[in-house]
Amino acid sequence: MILGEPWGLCALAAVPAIIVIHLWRRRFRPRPVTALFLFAPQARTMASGRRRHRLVATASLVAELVAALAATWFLCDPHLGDRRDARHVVAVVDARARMQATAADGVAAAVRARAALDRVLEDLGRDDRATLITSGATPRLLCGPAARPGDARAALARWQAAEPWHDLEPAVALARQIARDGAELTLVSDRAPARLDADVALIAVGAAAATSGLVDARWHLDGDGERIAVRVLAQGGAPRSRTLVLRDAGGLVLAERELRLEPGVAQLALFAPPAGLAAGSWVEVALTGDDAYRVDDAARVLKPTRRVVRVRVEAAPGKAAWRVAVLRALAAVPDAVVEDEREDGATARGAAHLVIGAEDAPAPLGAWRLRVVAGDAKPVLGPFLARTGHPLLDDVDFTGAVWAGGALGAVDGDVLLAAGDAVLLAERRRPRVREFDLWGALPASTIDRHPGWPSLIANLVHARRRALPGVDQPNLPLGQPTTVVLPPGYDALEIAGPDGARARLVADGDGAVLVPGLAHAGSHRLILPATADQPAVDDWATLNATILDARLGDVVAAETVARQVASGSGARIERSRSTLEHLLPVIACALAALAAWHAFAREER
Amino acid sequence: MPEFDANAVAAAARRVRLAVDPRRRRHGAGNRLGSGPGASLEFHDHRPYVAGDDLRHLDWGVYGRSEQLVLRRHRVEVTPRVEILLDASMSMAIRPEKLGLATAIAALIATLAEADGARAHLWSFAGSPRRLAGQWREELRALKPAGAAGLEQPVAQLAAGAERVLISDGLCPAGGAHVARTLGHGAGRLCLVQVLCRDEADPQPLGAVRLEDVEGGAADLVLDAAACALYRERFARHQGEWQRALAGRGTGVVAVVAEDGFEAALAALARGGVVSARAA
Repeated sequence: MILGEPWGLCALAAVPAIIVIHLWRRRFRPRPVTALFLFAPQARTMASGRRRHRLVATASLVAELVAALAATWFLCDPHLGDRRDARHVVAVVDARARMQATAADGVAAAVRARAALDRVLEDLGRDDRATLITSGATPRLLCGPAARPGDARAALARWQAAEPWHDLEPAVALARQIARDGAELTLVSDRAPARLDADVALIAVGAAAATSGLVDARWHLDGDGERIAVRVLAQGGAPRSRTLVLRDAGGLVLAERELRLEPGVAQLALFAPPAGLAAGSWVEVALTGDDAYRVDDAARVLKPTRRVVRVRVEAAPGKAAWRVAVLRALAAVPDAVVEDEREDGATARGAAHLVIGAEDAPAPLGAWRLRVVAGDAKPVLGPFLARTGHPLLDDVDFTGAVWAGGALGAVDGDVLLAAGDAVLLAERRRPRVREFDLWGALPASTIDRHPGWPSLIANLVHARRRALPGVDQPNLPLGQPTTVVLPPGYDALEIAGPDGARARLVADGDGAVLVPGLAHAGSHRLILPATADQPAVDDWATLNATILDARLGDVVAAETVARQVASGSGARIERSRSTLEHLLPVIACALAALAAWHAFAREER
Repeated sequence: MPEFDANAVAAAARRVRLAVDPRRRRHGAGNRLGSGPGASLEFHDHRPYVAGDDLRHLDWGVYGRSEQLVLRRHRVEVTPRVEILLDASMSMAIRPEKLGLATAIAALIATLAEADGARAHLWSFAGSPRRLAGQWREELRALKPAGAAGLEQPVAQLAAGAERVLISDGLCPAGGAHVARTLGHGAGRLCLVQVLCRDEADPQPLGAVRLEDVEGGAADLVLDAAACALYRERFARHQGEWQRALAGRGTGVVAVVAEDGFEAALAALARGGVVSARAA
């Protein structure tokens, strides 16, 4: 015996209450008289108070007990088993955006998928169940588990296929977990997957077509200049021509390019951006003409903000070798503005982001600092031990270099690079600040003439640029995470999606916010909420998520096929009360209460 | 409030008249002959003259025949007074028909008294005794039963020699003798029109009941045949006490049953001598 609502047993408290009431119930019917003194005094009993009598099984007592038990029955819902046999369809619906590809009749695969699945749900009985899972990087339940078919159909009507590229396996695995009790597994997609277990039914509703579309669109702003790079790919069919146009926000065509597309070969088109556009402005690149998959035929591209790193190289007496080496390396780093103190004196053009010097002085507020200092270690030829994965040492290899002047003994900070007992590079971390100590005597070393030297300085500038407040690349494919650094004084970020939904993300100690992959294509506003020291900024920056993906545009292998498996009719689904099970105890309770009322009235008459 | 049929009372008043004992009529000058000597034209008797008598009343015929100074006396003319004491305690309201019949009988007797030239004084015993004023019909209709004492309360303003009619169920724990002593003092005649419900005179077995006296008190009782017989026996003793208390003072106890209606009560009143049929 299983109780649906164990708390319903509390209604049983009415049973002893009823018995107590009947034990002390006065059983003498009231009778008004005028001459009480004429009745024999020996036949009278005292009427004051109540006393316990022998329990008499009167009709009212029985009816009241039946009513209480019926109410308990209704409230606690006793039943023998919590599951019973019924059909249970667990359907995985492919929600990748390529389900929007249309067939020759102009009907999208998503529409056909919805109709096909709706027919399956329509065939289910009232007591059967359905679970709908929509695929995605993280599959989610569209309806259920084990929902009524009507609810599942309503949820299916709201379903949209607009997800970026993802694998169907997680969704199928989730479905298989839910379907462990003998449910029927069905996959609805636009084609048969490469591998599908035999116990999973398939409803494929795709139509093969040759497509072409954008696979990448970016606005580059770097040392090589400013340009908009667009890659176009044709898939399937014969070579064909398509026109790629560049429009501004007002729809004015800025440039047009005729492309001859070979199937399977991506073409790169470069456009010079229109002059005078501010950071955050956008242009649209679009392929004209008809296509079976139109989702990737157009994309907006946001102009990124140029982020320049101001580097101050401190003055040093004489012609310090380290200074010459640093300035030479900085000259090759794009978007690094060097403020040479020897030339500009103390009047810097702005607060430096990075200070390089030899003095043991603290870095200015908010700036990073690299101190080049000679140590006591003898020259070494390696081997050099580098901290793996540190951005400063990315692609830096000093093999073959002679490094003299390393630090012997303990140093302040984390060691990033060492050779033998000598510490060559160390780092101290503070919120939003990094301090590096480079131990080396350059005249006695060859490191400044080694290819690793400019890489080290370039990595330092690049790391500093990435730590500057702002968005590194505003144009992102759907699902790709990115990092946004907040201005000083802010500790959280709100992202308002194109659908108006907002998400709040908290920054780490360096003010960096890891933005997870965006789920909806379009512009996402980045908002800085107000803090105790700083006001709110409503439109601080913008992230533009695009759904461009060559895999999504591939509908060459789409097909319409159905694969049935032996229809199950014995899924163990959660029991629910039928109308009769609902009403029977209620009716019994009502009838018993009515009978109790009648019986009581008769007994008291 | 009591409900009674005023038309039935008026119709009954045309058919019957109040049976009044002329010997008891001695109250003031009126249009009915009294029992004592007075100033009417009706001869009463002779008596010897004594100094101071009014010489106008000397029977000169007798003096001429016998030279005896004899005073001729005439019957007195009186206006009889009827006092109707209506019990309006809670016991009279146990059934609407009981209070209705009692009120109707009170109205009938008052009407008959007035029609007969008598002065009718109505007293209600709802709570404390109160005389109903000239508009006694309206006051009877507006009567609200109250209290438990009923007729067991003395009334100072009752007139000596008046015809006194008690209308009650007579179920007073103190007994009829006490009431007759209290309210019958100085009365010319005293009778009890006893209005009872049927089960008050003849209860039937009801099983286990809680008897709740409308005037206070309650008792749990198994009302079986034996208990009913015991009640009847005690009721008969109670009635006997009433009859003994009223013996020789008029018509005695006239019992009427509320459920039988006004006409049956009228017949009982006629049988009991409270009223008599008018001559055609």
